[in-house]
Amino acid sequence: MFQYITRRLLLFIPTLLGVTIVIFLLVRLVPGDIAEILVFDAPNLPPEEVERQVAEIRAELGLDRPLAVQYLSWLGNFATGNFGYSYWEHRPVAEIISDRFPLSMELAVLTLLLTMIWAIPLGVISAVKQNTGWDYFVRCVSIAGLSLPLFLTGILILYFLIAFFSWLPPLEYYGFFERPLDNLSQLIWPAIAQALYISAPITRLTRSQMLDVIREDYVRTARSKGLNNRVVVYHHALRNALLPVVTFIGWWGGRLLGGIVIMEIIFGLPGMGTSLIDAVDHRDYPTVQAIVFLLAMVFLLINLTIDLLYAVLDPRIRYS
Amino acid sequence: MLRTKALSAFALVSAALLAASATNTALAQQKGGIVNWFVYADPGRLDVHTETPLGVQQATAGIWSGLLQYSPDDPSQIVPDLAESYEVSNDGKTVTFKLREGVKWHDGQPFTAADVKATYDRLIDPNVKARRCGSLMKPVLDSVSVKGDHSVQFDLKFPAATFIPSVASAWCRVAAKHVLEKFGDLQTPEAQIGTGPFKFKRYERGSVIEWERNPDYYDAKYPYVDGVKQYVLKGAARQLAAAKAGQLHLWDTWPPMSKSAADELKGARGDDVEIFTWPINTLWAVHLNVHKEPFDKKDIRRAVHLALNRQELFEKAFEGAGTPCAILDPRLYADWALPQDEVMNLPGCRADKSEDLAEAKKLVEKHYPNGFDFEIVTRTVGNYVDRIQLVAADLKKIGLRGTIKTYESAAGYTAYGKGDFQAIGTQDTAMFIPDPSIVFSILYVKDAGRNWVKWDDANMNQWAEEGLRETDQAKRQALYHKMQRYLLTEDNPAVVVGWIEGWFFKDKSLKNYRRANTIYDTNTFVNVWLEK
Repeated sequence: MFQYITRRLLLFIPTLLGVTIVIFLLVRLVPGDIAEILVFDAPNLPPEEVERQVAEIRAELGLDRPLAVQYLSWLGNFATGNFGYSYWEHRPVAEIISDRFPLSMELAVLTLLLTMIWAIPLGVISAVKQNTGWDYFVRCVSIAGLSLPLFLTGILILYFLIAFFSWLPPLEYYGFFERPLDNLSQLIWPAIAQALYISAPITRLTRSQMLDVIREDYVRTARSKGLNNRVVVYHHALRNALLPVVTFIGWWGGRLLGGIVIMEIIFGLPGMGTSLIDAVDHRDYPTVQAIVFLLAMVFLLINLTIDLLYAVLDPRIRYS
Repeated sequence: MLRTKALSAFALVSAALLAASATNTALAQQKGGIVNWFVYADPGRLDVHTETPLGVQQATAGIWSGLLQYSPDDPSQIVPDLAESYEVSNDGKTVTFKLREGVKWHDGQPFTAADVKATYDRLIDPNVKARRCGSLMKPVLDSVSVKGDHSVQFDLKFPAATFIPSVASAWCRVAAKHVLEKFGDLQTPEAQIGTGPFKFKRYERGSVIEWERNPDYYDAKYPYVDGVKQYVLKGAARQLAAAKAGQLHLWDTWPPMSKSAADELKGARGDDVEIFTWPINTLWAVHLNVHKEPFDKKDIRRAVHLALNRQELFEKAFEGAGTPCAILDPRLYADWALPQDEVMNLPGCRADKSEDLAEAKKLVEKHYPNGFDFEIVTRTVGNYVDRIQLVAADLKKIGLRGTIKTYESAAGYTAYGKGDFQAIGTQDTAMFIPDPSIVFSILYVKDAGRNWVKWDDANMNQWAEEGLRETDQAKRQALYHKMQRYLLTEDNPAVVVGWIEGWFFKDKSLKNYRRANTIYDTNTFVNVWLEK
């Protein structure tokens, strides 16, 4: 197991290097750099002044150097823990990340928790009570969750809160350790919106897997031995049905991170998503690179965790 | 002999008027409370001298004072701020400001003439990218000299009519010499040490910017409120939701609400809010590249002017809110603008489009009997994509078939800056001082920053220069009328659709709020109070 984890962690290195190269090139392929953005937005500068200022800013930020030099210089700094300096926010990128990362991760964890709490049990109920009112209800909710775009679910939740409670979470963000109740009152709604969206396919997959598994011989045998139905369903059937579901959740980890960006904007939360959008808008390359790197790292860690969970769910699986 | 400007007299008259009305308002004014406002984007950088976004100006507005300001009580008037009065020499080239005594910076240091010199030296320093105030000052201001602790002399390159309106602008704020020396710029929250009615309390990036009352403000009766919180709210849905939930006292900033959003808000908040429309000093134009076919031909530019159905464009894009066809909006520029009755009877602007369309078609057919295919671009911000489709539809009627191409916002500015387009289908430009010259110096003179089409018209260049120098108000007004008629009847590559307006709201508990003529001025909240 230890060897396996070490090997997987080592494999992160080429993957993350690939990510850094791709994102480094992609942000530079988009027309306009921060020098042009700062200067072209100014309404009344004469052309020669525009050119002079653009050149000066590029030189100041090292953007006039060859791409390979820029990349290697950034990578060298990054390897030593120096994430660079934000052109736009005028502060170290590490500071931006330490400000923004906890919120986004809290939102991700809350979303996953909510998803697990209702998606899997609903899928099980739907399968066990196939073609009953419960099943139809769960299937309807799942289809609604799948059909509604995430941003719309978020906006509908905002409207629901105003229409029925004349209330919205506080506009100012509070950290969990600062004011836990206010913090949860801010994060629970985007988490619900995203959990609704993510849980829909998970519920459906759990249902179809359970329908397969509960018809297996070993489940029938367990029942014929007189085991309690709950034990049969949750101990024998569900555990076997969960393998593909867990794989699916890992794959959706990426979409979860993407969804967080949308939720942070709709609910006005100062997380990494809003910071990433700002950084892209302003071509703040060091910030974009660092955040994307971090998100890629989180995605890889989610998938590693999922792979390790296989062994927990199915003791026959061994890593060597 | 020096001409003493009327500021001191104005201040006395204002004081008398205020005293006369004191019996009516004294009881109403209440101290305390926090004004809740919002900013549409995280400002990031905070240097009011070097940055250009509205968010930067908003975030720091209450922190700073200028030598002069647009009156918070009557925003059409320029009144004293850190300067008690000023005098202009007979040749109009020297302006001497007498500074207020006893003013303190937020860190307790005394304010002196050296601070004013340090500020304006910075603004005209060629190495400092002062893109708003600097761009106003560099062409006209030669040097600044200290004449004692509380007097400062400005030597101008020529007698400039725009100098005083520029000094009063929200972008020309006075910073402390010792702060500039310590921090090098004003980008960080720590450098926000001003003399304004509020102190910069904190900036939680992406969440909130907070000011607190400055107890040492030079006018002890102000400010009335304890502080102002600006929440960073991105996206129309969150902004409207916050307004409906009563989390904001005021929405007078970019982006304006649509009429339907305003109706929705009124439905949710009822009589607790006042809904109003106001021009946001923003001009909507279609930019035609005079160096690329087909818009290199004056006839085709004229045809575009004739073809655009401004009333319909405003009806569809802004639910009717706006001033169609005006080069200067009469609601903002009063007598400097051509009377709207005259404008709306001109070809291209009049309601009946039949003759205009026939004439426009003729002009196009003269050069392109089979019409012309071209690329029309826009940035994907606000409702630009909706608007460009309406513009393209109007042009298609006269044989100009535009294929729409959209740019991400920053990429769009880059393409425009390089002149890499045939036509920009829709672009708004916000004017940052309420002086008529600004429209021409931003859009129409040869080196104007938003003259992306590189139009070089000898008449326009000459008249714009005369407009900056002409100090006789009547002559200046006649000159600007002539320039507007020229653009409406002769040639205009930045074809004006009109001045946009928006719907806004104010919570009824917020008192004494006055809307300024630009979206940038009088954002200090110095004179408002909250009714408990």
